[in-house]
Amino acid sequence: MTMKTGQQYIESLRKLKPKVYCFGEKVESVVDYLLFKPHLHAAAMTYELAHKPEFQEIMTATSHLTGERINRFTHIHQSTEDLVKKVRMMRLLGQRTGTCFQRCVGLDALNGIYVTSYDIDKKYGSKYHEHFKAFLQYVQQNDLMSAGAMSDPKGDRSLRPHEQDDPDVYLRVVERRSDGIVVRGAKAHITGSINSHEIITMPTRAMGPEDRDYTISFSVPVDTEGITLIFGRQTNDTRRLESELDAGNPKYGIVGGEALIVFDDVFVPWERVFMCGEHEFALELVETFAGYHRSNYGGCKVGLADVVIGASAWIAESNGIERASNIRNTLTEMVNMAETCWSCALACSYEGHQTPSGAYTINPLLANVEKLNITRFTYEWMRLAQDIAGGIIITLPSEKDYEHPEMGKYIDKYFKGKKGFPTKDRIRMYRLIENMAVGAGLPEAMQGAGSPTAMRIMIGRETNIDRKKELAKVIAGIREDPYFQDITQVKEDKAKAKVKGKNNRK
Amino acid sequence: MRIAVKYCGNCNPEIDAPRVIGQWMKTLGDDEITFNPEGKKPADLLVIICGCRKACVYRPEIRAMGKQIILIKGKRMEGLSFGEAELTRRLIQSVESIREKSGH
Repeated sequence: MTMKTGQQYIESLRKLKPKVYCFGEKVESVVDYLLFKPHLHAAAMTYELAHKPEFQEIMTATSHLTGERINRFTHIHQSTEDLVKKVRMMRLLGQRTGTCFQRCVGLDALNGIYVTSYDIDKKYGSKYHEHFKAFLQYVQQNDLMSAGAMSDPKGDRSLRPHEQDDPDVYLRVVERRSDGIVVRGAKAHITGSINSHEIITMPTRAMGPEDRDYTISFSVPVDTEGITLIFGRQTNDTRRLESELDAGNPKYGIVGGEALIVFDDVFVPWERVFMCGEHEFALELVETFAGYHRSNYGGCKVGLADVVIGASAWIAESNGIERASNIRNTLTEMVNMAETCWSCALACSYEGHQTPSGAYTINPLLANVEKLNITRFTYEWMRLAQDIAGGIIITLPSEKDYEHPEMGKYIDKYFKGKKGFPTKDRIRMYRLIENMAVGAGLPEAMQGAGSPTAMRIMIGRETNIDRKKELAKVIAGIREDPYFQDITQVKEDKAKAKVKGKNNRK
Repeated sequence: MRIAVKYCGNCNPEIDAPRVIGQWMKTLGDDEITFNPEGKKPADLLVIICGCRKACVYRPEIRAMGKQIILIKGKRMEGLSFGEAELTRRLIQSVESIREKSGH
């Protein structure tokens, strides 16, 4: 059993040869490609902190399969305490990277498939769960990073998978063999996929009987024959190639580093297939995965909020306005929103429950409330960070001007703040706020783990409105109130009359 | 049969647990019913009825209060999900099945 360090993780990627394209060129080495480095550093943090004694309680867990100590990113949650530790881990890593560290999607895929494959086997007597446990043990033993791949391109959203003009806009099985399946299609916006060891796919929506070929879940190494990854752009991404100072977060980047993954007739052996055709379980897998994933956001995005709140407070101090009441109020408002989301993350974890598989899952209503809050509050606390920082975050000259022998002195002089705050440090902090509050992190917070509409649907489904109506009827006096009758020791009509009489006497 | 019924506390239930228990109790005969047992002697049957799937009272010290246990987790019983009427019917069935097997 090996728990990799951050450096070992990065080096382990050298053994893989994925077919990756970026800016129209084939990437020969993911590890050495400059644009990717910050993403690798952020993911490496999930490995490195597991080796630090001060973080081990959160960053590691005991495998229920082997009893050995493993990185928590490969763990199946065995209790509500595990769920709580998972969101604590998310906040910690958000604080330490200031960006998306990518590895949670694979963790949630592992847990979602663990739960669902058990239920499929229970109904059909299949071997998916057994195969999945063998795969899981391999992941744990080698401390692998898995990219959770759910979103299909979807084509015409008004049509079901089997109704699409182009049958490949949802990943599908094109051939069933005695030794495995052949799949074709794509998964889009997949976080951390270029720097993962494995790609784990899941269906993206509920499926009907005609969508059987689209109801698939499997895992393959990222460099499997037939897989092509096309890396996506992010706001100001090439700044990191030009200038350390202008990049904002040069060490860890911005968002997770997403890619379109094309599966061009990829062979998957049966041992790596965890669902194939059991359409009635597609929604269970989608919802179980999404529930886990949505529960993370009140951890990781709050970790990012911690950083941006700190940056805003520092900028205010460097401007000499830290004691102004509007600044204090604004910072308090940011903290209030961040801790509200954190409360949701803790609550949905503490209120989690055991599934028939033995694994624990979150409270789905609270997890969806959490993520819906994130889609709003992230914009709001980032707006307030912009408010405190001012327009300078989008008007600052470049690092090249700052380093220029003649221009540099002007920038140094005219962007000076309070004594004790060097201009260069102020530029760093402004750029960090620009990176976090203006760029790709915002739509990531809205759309990652599903759109706000997806959360509203789940909240509606998980809420018992009829029971709330019953509660209202009892309080309004439309329905009998047995507890009230016990208190007053009379039938409700008479008791109400008594109350009315008392009031009249006043 | 000595039957104990343990409620979870019903802070935010998916079902009307007292109504389920009330309907089921109408089907009982001479059974001795205790609510929220605290004694050390375990009941022949313990029905743990929780308002939601969290099942927060399904703890070892509670489980020790019954020789046999039926657990209801909100709308769920024995791994399946039901409406309240069906849940009540299943509870009645399960209790009768336990009664037959145990000879009470």
